[in-house]
Amino acid sequence: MPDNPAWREAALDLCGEAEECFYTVKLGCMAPGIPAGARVRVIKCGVDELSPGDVVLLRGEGELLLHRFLARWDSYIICKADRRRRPDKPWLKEALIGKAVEAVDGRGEKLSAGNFLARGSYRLLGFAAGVAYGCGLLAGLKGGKALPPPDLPCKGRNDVIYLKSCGEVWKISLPAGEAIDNPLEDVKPTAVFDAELQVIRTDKIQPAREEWQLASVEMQAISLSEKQGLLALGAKPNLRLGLETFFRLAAMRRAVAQGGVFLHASSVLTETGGYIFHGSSTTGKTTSAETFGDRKRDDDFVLLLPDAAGGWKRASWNPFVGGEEFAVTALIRPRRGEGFNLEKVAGGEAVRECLYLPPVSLPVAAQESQLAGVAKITADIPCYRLAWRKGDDLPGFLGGEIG
Amino acid sequence: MREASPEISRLRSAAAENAVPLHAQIELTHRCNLRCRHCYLHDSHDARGEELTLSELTGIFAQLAEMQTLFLAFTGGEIFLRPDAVDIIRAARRLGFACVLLTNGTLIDDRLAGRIADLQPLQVHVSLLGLEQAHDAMTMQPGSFRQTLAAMQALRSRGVKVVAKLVVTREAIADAEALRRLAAEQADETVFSTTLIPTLAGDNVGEELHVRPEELCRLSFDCKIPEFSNPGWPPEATVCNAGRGLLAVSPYGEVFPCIGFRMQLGNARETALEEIWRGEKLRQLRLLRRGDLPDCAGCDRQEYCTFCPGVAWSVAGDYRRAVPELCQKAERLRKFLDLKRGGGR
Repeated sequence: MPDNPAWREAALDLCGEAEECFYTVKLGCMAPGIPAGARVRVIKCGVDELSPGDVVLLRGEGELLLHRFLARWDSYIICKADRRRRPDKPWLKEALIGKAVEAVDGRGEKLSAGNFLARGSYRLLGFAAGVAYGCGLLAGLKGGKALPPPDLPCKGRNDVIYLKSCGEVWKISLPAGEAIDNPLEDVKPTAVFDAELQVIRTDKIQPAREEWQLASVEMQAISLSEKQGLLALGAKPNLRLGLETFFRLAAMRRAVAQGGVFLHASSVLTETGGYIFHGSSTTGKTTSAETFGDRKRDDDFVLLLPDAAGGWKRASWNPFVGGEEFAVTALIRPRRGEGFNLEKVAGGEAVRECLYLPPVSLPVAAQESQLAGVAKITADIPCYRLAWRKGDDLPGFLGGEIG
Repeated sequence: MREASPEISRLRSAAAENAVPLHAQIELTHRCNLRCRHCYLHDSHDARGEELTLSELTGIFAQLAEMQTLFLAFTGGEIFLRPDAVDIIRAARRLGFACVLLTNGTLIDDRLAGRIADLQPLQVHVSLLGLEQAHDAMTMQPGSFRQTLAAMQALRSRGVKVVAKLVVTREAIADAEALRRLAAEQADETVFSTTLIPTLAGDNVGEELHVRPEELCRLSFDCKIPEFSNPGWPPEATVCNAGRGLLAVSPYGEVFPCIGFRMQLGNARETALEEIWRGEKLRQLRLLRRGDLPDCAGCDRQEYCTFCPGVAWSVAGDYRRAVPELCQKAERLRKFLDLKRGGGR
């Protein structure tokens, strides 16, 4: 239960002493899942009992609102109406009355539980919201509570926010006095703020940055509202790039400089090894990686570098994804199929299927370097084509075949 | 020319041994805006029928992917005379092929250079036939030299690797050293070539264009022309990669072992590529060894001979026959190497 007396009072107003109440939806902002006129059973709960995707009842200014919970940050919760692209301003956690557990529409017909209970797809959105708000948006809110201050120097006239992910903190300087647009136009936590990235500074991050510098990549500034970064690349000191591209490009240049390769792929670490699921878009890379193991490390882009023993290691390329290095056990190209089928691939075919040459600016001959690297990894690491369908026991199958 | 990585070299060897067409040459068109005097298409630039459409080519690419092809070389004619050239190459890139583009560069402006860069070709090959006067005289198109240089700059500024192919003819031999310096500045890699192959009609390119060995020897640098290195073939050596690790498709769907070896194997519009590739003609070709060449037994130029079955086919209609063009070439190589050994200039 919320412990703020005022909100406790509000909840009691609504629900009395009961642990649950009924609320009739006034507006259509949660339609079509929960249309106006629907009657929702709400049970009182605390923030700790919420999962991203839960539909929650909130006490607003003079009204109650039924919105979807995305994330929690410190003493705030982030919610959003289903029909809106952007989340609400953060709610103090005391605004929470409870969560919806059951609903009927205006004709008395029961609504599917899927419309108001936590769904997996909201977890990423929730994570993004948590990162975004938690790292800085709240700092700019009038009366907002100060963020937990990372132990980092703040410089210049700008407000400072911090992006935190996977235990790593990024310091971001916001142009003073400028309104912060609402984030989450893109669920990726890399593209949510109107800000300039000035410093990346923690002990943990610094080595990675130094490596990037070794690869002649100089990060200068990033305008997140434009989703662009300013990147110094030797002869092109003011190249503006998308933020995601910015990190990828840095990784690609590292690969070229260090004899590595980059793949259009997802990576996952399991008890039996590290696996790369590669292929073009919508072929199931992410789904395969997530289904195969719960320690997915990369999504859509993987950097592989040669290791000291003559093998290959997955390397971190983006502070928003996991930092550990691990050896690669297999390269797998997934596709949807009628059932399991695992086929070993080799030679030029394996190279062609792995070869990733994205349309971005790279050093001359990077393509040849990438080709040579892919030819080497496909010779060094077993390559497979995998057909499977959702719902199949992928870990059981793959673990038995190549794990 | 930079050596291929050991893994790529291994792939090539394995492909040739196992009859996998790792390389495919795709002629997008025979049309060209230039009329280069040394070109094997010199008299054949007029369209002879409907060129393969984007859809047909996409189907061919899918078949090549199934056949384990990795490299596609797009050539012409001038490939960018086709308005859909970028779409065609993009279709190939979508399937993951590593693409090399051969162009004269004259149609590449900044916008097209940007579109080409987006395709991420491995290399773009551009021919330089001499300095401005000699180049334009060879292309029979005033201004073509400057257009080609501008294209090279536009491509390189976008990160595209440009390979300058310096075609050394008698008319351009005086430019060779200056051309080499120019290419070093304007291209990422330079290759020299003296190879002039017969036209589609089987006519030999005029003798006046062939560079003389003594002229090559007078150069102050070693131009490392591949065909002017001493091959020293053993009899059991295969003749070349055509039809073993390489196939070619004409703008009209005709399938050949190589663009320089116009023995028609079938037509991709009518027959599956795999069926053509496994056909009897190529099976026979793959059995050919240098010791099998009937006219060459006892020839004292064998060790200098870079026998090309494509030239033999074009001139004599039989890819095993010795033809004067090849024998003259072997003689030039012998003379060149003798001069080199003797320090001759």
